Parts: sequence; structure tokens; C-alpha cells
Amino acid sequence: MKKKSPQKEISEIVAGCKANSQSAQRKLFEIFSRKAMGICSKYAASEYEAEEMMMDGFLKVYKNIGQYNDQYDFGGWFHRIMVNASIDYFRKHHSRLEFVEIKVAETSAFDDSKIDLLSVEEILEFVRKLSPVYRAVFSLHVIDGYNFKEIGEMLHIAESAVRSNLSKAKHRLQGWIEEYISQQEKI
Amino acid sequence: MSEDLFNKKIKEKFKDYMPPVRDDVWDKLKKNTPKPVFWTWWHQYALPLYALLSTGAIVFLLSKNYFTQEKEQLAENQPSVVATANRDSIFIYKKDTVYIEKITYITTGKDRNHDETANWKKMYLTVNEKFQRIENQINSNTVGKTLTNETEKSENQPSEIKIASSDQNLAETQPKEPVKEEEFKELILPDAPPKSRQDSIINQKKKFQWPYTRFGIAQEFDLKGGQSIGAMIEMFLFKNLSVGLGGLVTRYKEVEYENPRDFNLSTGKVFETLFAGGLPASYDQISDIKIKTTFFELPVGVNLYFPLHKNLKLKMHYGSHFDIKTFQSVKVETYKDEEETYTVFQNQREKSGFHNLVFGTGIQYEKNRFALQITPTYIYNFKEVDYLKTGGKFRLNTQLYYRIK
Repeated sequence: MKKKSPQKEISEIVAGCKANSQSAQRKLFEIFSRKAMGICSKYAASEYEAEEMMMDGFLKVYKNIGQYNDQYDFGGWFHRIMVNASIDYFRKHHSRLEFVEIKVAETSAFDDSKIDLLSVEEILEFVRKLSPVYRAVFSLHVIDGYNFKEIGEMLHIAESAVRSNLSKAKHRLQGWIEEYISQQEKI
Repeated sequence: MSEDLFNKKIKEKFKDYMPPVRDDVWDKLKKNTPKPVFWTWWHQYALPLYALLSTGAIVFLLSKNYFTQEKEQLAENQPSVVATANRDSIFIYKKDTVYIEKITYITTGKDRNHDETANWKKMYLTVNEKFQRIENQINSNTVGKTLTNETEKSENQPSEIKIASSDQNLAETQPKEPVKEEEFKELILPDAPPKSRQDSIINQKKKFQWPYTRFGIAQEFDLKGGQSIGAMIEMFLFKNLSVGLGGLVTRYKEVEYENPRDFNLSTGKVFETLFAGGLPASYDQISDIKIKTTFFELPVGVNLYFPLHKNLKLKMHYGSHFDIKTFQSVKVETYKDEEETYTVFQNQREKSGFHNLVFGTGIQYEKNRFALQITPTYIYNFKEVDYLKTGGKFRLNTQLYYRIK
């Protein structure tokens, strides 16, 4: 029996989801849930929060899949929906936190090669230690590649605030990484 | 440059990051996923469809019943018409206006010594005879003509009946020498039937008949584990139409939510607002919520019965369950500074009253004074209440009745 191509399989699943078929919804979840969890983890303070963001994201995918155009890559559309769901969750649950515009961004020398010594889980631990505001700005810009203007629009803040918050987040992260590696070296 | 390298290395690390997902996430998610069209259709149109079919069935059965009764009545009253109708399969009804005029001759003083009872009997027999004659004349299609013109006037015949068509001169039928009111009052009393007999006639007419009544116990189950139990009373207004009233205690199965978010997603309400009164003054986190809802309701409805077989009847039920009191037993775990607190509290909800409609079609088996009913019912909640969303659900209703007389 001839195996279906991944693209064709995705198209069929998407068609099933457009008809609200629960088996198609489940298949989509099985294929994309780990990817979704990877996206949401960077914006969440815990695994529990990441799961909630992911569930919100999947519900958005199912509800809006009718708007998806088959001519474009489904993975890209799915990624954008998950990021938006994470930001919506962030706005809903951290709306009390204010973005602080820091006048002078702190700079320091950091040896980038130290990142190679760490696993993704260790880096994620440090990202999760950041405040929700720093974590959102850092993940949006550094990991998901959004520019300052887009981040400003998504978080409803000024571009300058995005820059200063990102700088502060990086500075904190680099400090924690250096400290962690020096401790590891001592051991 | 260094910043770019830092970003690049971090991005690289997360490029293929796909952590495992717990197995139960899908189970939570699927409760809220959009449902297929037929599912939505069923939820949206099941009730109107059910109502349409039930109404159709009722109209059909009632009309059938009405025409059968009418035919039977006609056969009793006018056999000739029915005989003709049976031949041609057409019913013909003819209605004429007939005036019945009763003339009472009042005896004068010299007759007052007569035996009153004998007079009354005589008069009764004469009137009866006249009625019989009139009836015979109606049946032989002589309506419209003067049926009785000749009157036999004698001292021994105190009463006479005339039937005249509408166009006949009524003056002819008036007594020639009218009696004065005072004289009439004085003289009429001796001719009236004995008082004891008058009373018995009146009592026979006015005697109140208590409707056919039966008492019973009722139990209901729903597909989600909810149960109701209570007592019912049913009173028959007509042979096949009754009203039912009762009291039911309903308890839903305990519902569990991992956290307030799950509760909010599932019910559309905000947990912290709804149960603010029972929660601790300050807490960092709430988890493991368990809610048990119990309420006292008043089922009110109309029942229609259609005979199916010797002891079996088809039952159709329409009504509502009014909520009188609603209680919710809530158990939650709260955390404050990593210290766990277990809280249990009772929460009395606001009275929601009239918020649902109940439709049911089932069967009744009757033997001697007992009747067992099994009725699948559909309860449609048209107004959202604190513990219940709008929408319908099925319940199986069983009732056991005992007839008191």
C-alpha cells in the first residue's frame, strides 16, 4: 500500500478539521501537540501554563481553520496562531504588570560560546525565571524572530520600551548563565 | 555583532525543541472543540422536531377521537341520518329553531281542596306525553309546522304545551284571562311538587364530584448520573387529560475541575466570583474543585393518555420543573505561601424558578388500582442559571401511581 505524502496527509486532516470531524482534530493534535508545546513553553512560567496556552492555541486553530488558505504552509500558520494564543494568555493573566521603559540599557561582555555548553532545557529554565514581561519580549524577538515594531503592536507598547526590556532580559539571562557555568566548573 | 551571535545560538537551541505532552491534555481539550454539523443540528433542532411530531400525533389522535365520538352520538340521536350517511359516506346535519311554549293554568279556590299529589302526578304524566309526541314529530321531519294546535281545556288538565314555528303568532298561545301577580303567588304554591323532592333534584344536580385522583412516587435518571426522587399527585380533568404536581429532590453527580480555569471554560462562569463567599480571604492558587449540586424542584405538567391496548396507554407529558431551592456543596484546595488548605462550604444559589420546559412520551401499564409509567423526557433549559447552561438533555422518568377510589 502506497504511503501518503506528509503534505497530502496534512491537507486531508485540515479538510477534516474544517468539517469539525473529531477524529481529524485528534490527528492534528497528535501531529502538532509537541511542536505547539515547544512554542508555548518559552512564554510560560511553568509547564502547567504552557499546557493552558497550548490548549487555547488548539481551540483557536480548530475554530479558525476555515480561514486557512491551503496554498500556504500550514506549519507557519499554525506557529503564528500558537504565538498569538500565548500572547493573549499573557495579556489576560499578566495585565497588571507594567512595561518599564529603562533609560539606559545595560551592556556587558558575554562569551556566547558558553551557550553551547547548555541544553535547551537548562536555557528554558533561565527563560522561565525571567519576569513575564521580559520573557515575552525576549521569546518574541530572539526565538520567534519578531521585530520591535511587531512586538510593540502585539503587546501594545512603544518600540523603545521593547528595546529596553529586551536588553534588560538578555543582561539578566547572560548573568545567570555565567553564574551557572562557573558553579558547574567548580564542581 | 556579539548580540546577533547570542540571538542566533539561542534560536538554534530552540529550533527543534518539542517537549512531550501529557496524555490527558487531549481529553480536556476535546470537551471544548467545535462539534460536527449534525451534532450542532441535533442540539439546535431536536426540540422543535420533537414538538412538531408530538403535536402532529396529538392532533391526529384527538381529531380521530372527536369524530368517533360525534359519529356515536349521531347514531344514538338520529339513526336515520346515520343510516343515510353510511350509504353515501356523507354526514348531513340540519338544525331548526323550535320554540317550546308552556302554558300553565292555575286552579282557583274551589280546586284547592283537591289532593295535591294526585294533581301533580296527573300534570307530570300529561307533560311527559306531550314531550313524547313532540319528539316523534321531530323524528318524522315535521319540524317547522305547527305541531299542536288543539288544546284540550278542562278543569282536570292544569298544564298544556304548545310547539309553534318562529313565524306563528305567539299571541294565540297566550292565556285569555291573565292572572294577576298576587293571585299567581298565592295559587301556585299548592301545585308545586313536595319540597323534599325539589331539594333532592337540586342536590342531584349540584353534587360536586371530586376528580379521579391518584398518588405516586417518581424517580428520574439522566445520562450523566443525575438522579431525582419524590412524590406526585395526578388529577384527571377529563377521562384522558390530567394535571400532575409533585416535589422532587434532584442531585447531580459530583463534578470535578482541576482548577478555576477548567471550571470557567466548562461553565462559562468565573469561579472566584461565583463562590467568593466561601473561599478563604487570601490565597495564591486554587486547585481540585469538587462541586455537588442538589435542588428541590416542583414538577408541574399536563398529561394526555391514548389507549393502546387492554392495560396499556400512550402517555404524553408537557410541563416544567420549577426550582424552589438549590444548594451546592463545594470542596476546594487552596494554597497560600506553599501551605495547602482544604476548604468545604455550602453555597445556596439564587432561586431560578421557571427556566425549563419538559416534554415526554412514554407508556403506562395499569392493573387494578396501580399504574406504572415509564417516560423518556427531554428537558430544555431555555434560561441559563448558575449551575446549568442553556440546552437540552434527556431523562428517564419512572412513576408508580395508586388510585385512591
